[in-house]
Amino acid sequence: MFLQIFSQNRHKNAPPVRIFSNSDFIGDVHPAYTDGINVKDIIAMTDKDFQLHIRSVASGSKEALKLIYKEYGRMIYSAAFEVVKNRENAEDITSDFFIRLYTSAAATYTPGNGHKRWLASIAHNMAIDLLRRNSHEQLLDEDEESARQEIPDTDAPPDITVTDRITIAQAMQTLDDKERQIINLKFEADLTFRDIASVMKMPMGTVTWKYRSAIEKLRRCSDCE
Amino acid sequence: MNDIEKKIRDKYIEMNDEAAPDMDALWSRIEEKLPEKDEETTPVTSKPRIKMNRIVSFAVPLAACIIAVIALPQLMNSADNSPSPIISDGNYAEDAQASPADEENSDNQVNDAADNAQAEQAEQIDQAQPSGDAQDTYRSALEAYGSTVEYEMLSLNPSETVSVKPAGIRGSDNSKYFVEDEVLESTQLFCRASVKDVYFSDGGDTVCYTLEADETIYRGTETDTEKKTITAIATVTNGEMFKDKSEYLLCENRTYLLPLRMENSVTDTYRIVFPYAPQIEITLDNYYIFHNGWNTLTDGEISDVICTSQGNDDFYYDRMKLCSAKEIKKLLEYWENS
Repeated sequence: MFLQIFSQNRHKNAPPVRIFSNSDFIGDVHPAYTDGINVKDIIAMTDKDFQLHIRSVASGSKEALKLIYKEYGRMIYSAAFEVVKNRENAEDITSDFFIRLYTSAAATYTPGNGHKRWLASIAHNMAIDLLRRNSHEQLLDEDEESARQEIPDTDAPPDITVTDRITIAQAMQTLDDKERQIINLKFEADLTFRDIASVMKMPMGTVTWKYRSAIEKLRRCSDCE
Repeated sequence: MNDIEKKIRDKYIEMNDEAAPDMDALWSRIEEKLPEKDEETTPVTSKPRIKMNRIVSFAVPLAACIIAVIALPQLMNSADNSPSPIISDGNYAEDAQASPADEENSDNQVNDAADNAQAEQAEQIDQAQPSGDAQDTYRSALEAYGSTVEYEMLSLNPSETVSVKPAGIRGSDNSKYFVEDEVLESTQLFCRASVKDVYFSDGGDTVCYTLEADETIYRGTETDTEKKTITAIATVTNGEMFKDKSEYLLCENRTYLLPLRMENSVTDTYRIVFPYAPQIEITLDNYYIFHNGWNTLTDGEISDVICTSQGNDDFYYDRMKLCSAKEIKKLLEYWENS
């Protein structure tokens, strides 16, 4: 297998390394992983790797926690954001997530079901808990406000017809909450449908159906054809 | 994933890139809030990891062989002699806790041989859980776990069952309110059973559980400790499961104490008396997770269990408690005499 690695400005302060295999995009890895480490080691954190890291975290290693953060911090933030739809809250959840991981949750990890599913599940549940803590009225206000703040292109027409050419951000606005969360867990966390069903506590049939429905809506994005 | 999906994924990731926060700044924020812990292992690096893997790959089979030769016969003997957990014997709670203790100690021995780090972690978890020492006297949930404990921290088997959004208590339908006396009145037997399979029938209107019962308590008769496989059913409140409106499903591989009534004696099928609430779940260290609708159980030295909500219709996630077998004994006595 031919692997090609090159950097790309992905994050403001921490450009990751983007990995391709025979021109197929495999994934992004934080540059901290590339220093003196074999390419095969940086493709993804395996369950075994994660098990060793999380064991160190449970024993009090901040260094191990940082490695997990660098690998999955963005995924946790993204999963939380799709639920709370507010940048500040998503950052708070990400922060609380890793503190909780360090203080107590790491000791409860049980190998065997996939570490990404475990991580995504905790993040998803924490985000839902936050939503429940807030009052319904507050949520509605925040959603409207954050939707305006987070979507850069606010010129989307109120009624988008199937033939319109729209950006991916506009296309995402046509999805319902569950569809957005499923797309996020599929694309950002690279979870299987079975894992997504477990994280979202939905039947797998519903997950696959909603994913297909979302893809159909997103096909209208002009850049995606 | 086809080409279109790949393009959509790339565009989606690109869009998220633009909106992503400064992850380094966020880490600094996290790091500031991290409490100080005494680090018990060396920092994680890639090379020692590989060495550790090699050590583990040799040590695990070696430890397994040692256990098979030395410890297994003893474990089997202790299992044969272990009493049934719910039998109304004055010392059952003490005895029941001794059994997982022995297993845990044996597990730690394996870990010591295989991987010191793993043993250290086991010890750390052990501190948060009830002591498994066979010499220990009876410990209530409150004593063992404190006033609150997270559900995820409890000792439970892993399960693949996907919980669906529960129906919970709805509208003016009084039949869906949990009333302990009514539930006990309808209960013909309590069954301590592990869930072996979960499936739906009647077009998704009925959920069926294949249960391996290791103890069955009939009202007014002796306790049956013979192991047997039975089927328990429950009608789904709002029709097919794919409407996301199902009951609180029992999870495969987990153990419960279920109030049942006979549905079909020929097929050995029972009906769950009240499926609209979480059932009493039994942890591996023999503590019982229940909701506070069980009034008799809430009198003892119990802990609050912090659960994650299953959705807007989940009326029980913040009402879950943990008790010991002592409270369960009181419940069964109350049921027998009611």
